[in-house]
Amino acid sequence: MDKHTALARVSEDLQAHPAVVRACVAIINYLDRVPIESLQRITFGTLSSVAGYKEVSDVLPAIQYLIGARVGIFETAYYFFDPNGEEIPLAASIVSSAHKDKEFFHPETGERVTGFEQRIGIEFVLARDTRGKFIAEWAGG
Amino acid sequence: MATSPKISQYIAAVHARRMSYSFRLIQARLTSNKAPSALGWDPLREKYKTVSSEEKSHYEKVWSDLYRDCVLYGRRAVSIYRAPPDLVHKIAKICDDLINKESPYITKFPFPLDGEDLKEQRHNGHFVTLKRMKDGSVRLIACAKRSYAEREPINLDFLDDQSKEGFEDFDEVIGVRHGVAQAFDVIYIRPSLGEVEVHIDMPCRMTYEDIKNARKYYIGLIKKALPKEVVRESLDSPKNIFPMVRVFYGDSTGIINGLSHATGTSSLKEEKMRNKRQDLRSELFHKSGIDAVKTTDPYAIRIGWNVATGRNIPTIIVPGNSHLIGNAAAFVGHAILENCSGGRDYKFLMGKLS
Repeated sequence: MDKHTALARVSEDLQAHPAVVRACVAIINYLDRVPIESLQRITFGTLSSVAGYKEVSDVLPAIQYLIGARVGIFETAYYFFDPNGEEIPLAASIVSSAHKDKEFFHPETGERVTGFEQRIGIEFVLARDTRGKFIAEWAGG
Repeated sequence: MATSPKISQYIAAVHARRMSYSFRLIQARLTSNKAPSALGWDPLREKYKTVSSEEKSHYEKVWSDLYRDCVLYGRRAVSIYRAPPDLVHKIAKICDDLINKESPYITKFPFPLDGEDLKEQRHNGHFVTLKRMKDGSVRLIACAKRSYAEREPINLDFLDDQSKEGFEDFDEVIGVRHGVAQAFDVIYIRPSLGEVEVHIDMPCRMTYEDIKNARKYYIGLIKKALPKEVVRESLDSPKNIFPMVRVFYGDSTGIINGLSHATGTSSLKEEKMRNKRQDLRSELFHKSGIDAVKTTDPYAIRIGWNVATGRNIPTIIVPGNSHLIGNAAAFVGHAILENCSGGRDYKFLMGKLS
């Protein structure tokens, strides 16, 4: 999908939500503007700031839309942040099992982690399709 | 189906070393050896409660190898002492006298002492065994007690209302657990190289001073076993690892995962890649910064190398501190070796240090 199709879909799908449209457009323009090397890990904080929100949680509807099947710019990436400041990438299947079974084991020590929900974070990476076709078309404006 | 007390013993012993040998390596080793693996220690123990009679001896061998490697090649702080080959040869000769035959560690070796027995020991290590190699080198193994404090978040949902009182204003409550772990320190005496290597085992977190004290203690035992006139000024100070920071920063074969450096624009930078498989030197922020300031003065580094199996990145850390940049005689006495799956990885890293 190219940038113009993505922007057209945003306007078409989100007519009833102008604030979300504004946020999505700002995010898409941001992806267009910055070097692809800077888009390896995209945080909630970055996206909310790009979208002009003060509260990080305000950006959630825009992210939800941009992850969805209609545009699919981002994929989610999960990380476990251990109490010693180390962060460990997690497969989505591990996170899903942890929530289902209500138990999670520290990937490095193998120990059960209590309160693991607070230590698993989500960030975003460009979707495979976006990294290839989408960004190839956008890169360099 | 049968039970295997041997496997249970190995599992308990490997578990005791969980801070120095990654569970991911254990999973990879088990899977590649067609032995049951699991997401964590509890389900792993369940899987080995009973094993099929046909697989029992195979699993015992897998766990025995795993235990050996996690003892010898887990996270270690390595110091290298240079000395005249004659002297190192003399040390190799008297190594048998260093073994403490009365040591309580000997009764359980190669397994660790039970928790209560270990608590009763002093922190200073005992040499418990040695192995003489074909090239004339000697490998001495010493056991020692290490104390640690572990911090862990407490889930308030598990507490009753009365216990929760007073914690309402806290987002997170941390508990501190004090414990002891048994270390297996290794000293190599290498007459042909004129070197004595001290490999301080790190089964728990240790400070720079803890490591320094442990290494000095063993060198002290060796020196004490020789006549004063033979030892003289030798073995006083290990090889300075600090210059390796700069060498590693220029090593294009490695992956620099962390770097601490001082810039000419008056800032101290502590940079770390979030993905350990990515090299900081090719990261845009770092690259542009270095391009702008031209040079920088690195004082600590973390560097790893891809290995053929692809499952781990054996890593060396040179633990420098910013005070070193203002010191013409900057000195770091040890490097930390970690994330080795076995002897091959460890030997590879030692080659990088020599």
